[in-house]
Amino acid sequence: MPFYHALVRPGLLTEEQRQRFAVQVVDVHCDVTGAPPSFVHALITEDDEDRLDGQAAQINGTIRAGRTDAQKAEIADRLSRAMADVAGVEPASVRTSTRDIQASYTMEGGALLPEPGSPEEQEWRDGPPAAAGAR
Amino acid sequence: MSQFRCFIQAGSNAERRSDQLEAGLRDHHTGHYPGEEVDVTWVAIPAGHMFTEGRQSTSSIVACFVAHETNLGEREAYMRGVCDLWTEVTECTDHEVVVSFTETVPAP
Repeated sequence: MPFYHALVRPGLLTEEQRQRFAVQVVDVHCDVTGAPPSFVHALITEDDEDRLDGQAAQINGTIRAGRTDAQKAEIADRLSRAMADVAGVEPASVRTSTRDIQASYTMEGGALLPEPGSPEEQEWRDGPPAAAGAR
Repeated sequence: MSQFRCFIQAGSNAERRSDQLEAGLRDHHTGHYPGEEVDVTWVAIPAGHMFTEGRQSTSSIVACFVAHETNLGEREAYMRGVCDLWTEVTECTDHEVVVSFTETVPAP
């Protein structure tokens, strides 16, 4: 967590573009929130059921509750622009939203995630466990 | 009914051992809520579609939808059991499994 799911128009992105966007997701989320990059997940799938209603892409982020409205707006704006830049489409054709989830409802790295702004979070930011082979 | 939705990497140990994981998930749920059945669904994500820290992901995401209200201790124990099952069966690290918990209690 966070977990970002980008639903894109079929054929919109090559594998190289998907990876470039995934890197942008890490950069934007960590820049805005200060969260460790090793916890940022991005899933990119194609819209096979015509759910985009003419849009190029729709990005839904599930993030820990406690971020400010300004932070969430900045994440949404920057991710929409990042997708538009990577895909070569108009930013207006990309819609991004976020959904809050309480930290104690997610376990990652073998522990419950800390609440944003809590004393536990500072420790978590400073030293994610070194055994994280997949990070 | 409660449900597990498991997002796994195609070709991973989690995919190869999904039968064992599914049996373990069912046992785990029954251990917490005796007599209850649980639905388990799988999504295998092809390479090049999921990334962690901007690189090809090796992580599984196990979304638990549980038809009960829980307190923190109950929730943590439930998620801990899923995490332990995953690391034991797939031999992944605990950073390669993300467990989320959603209470799906119907509104009164």
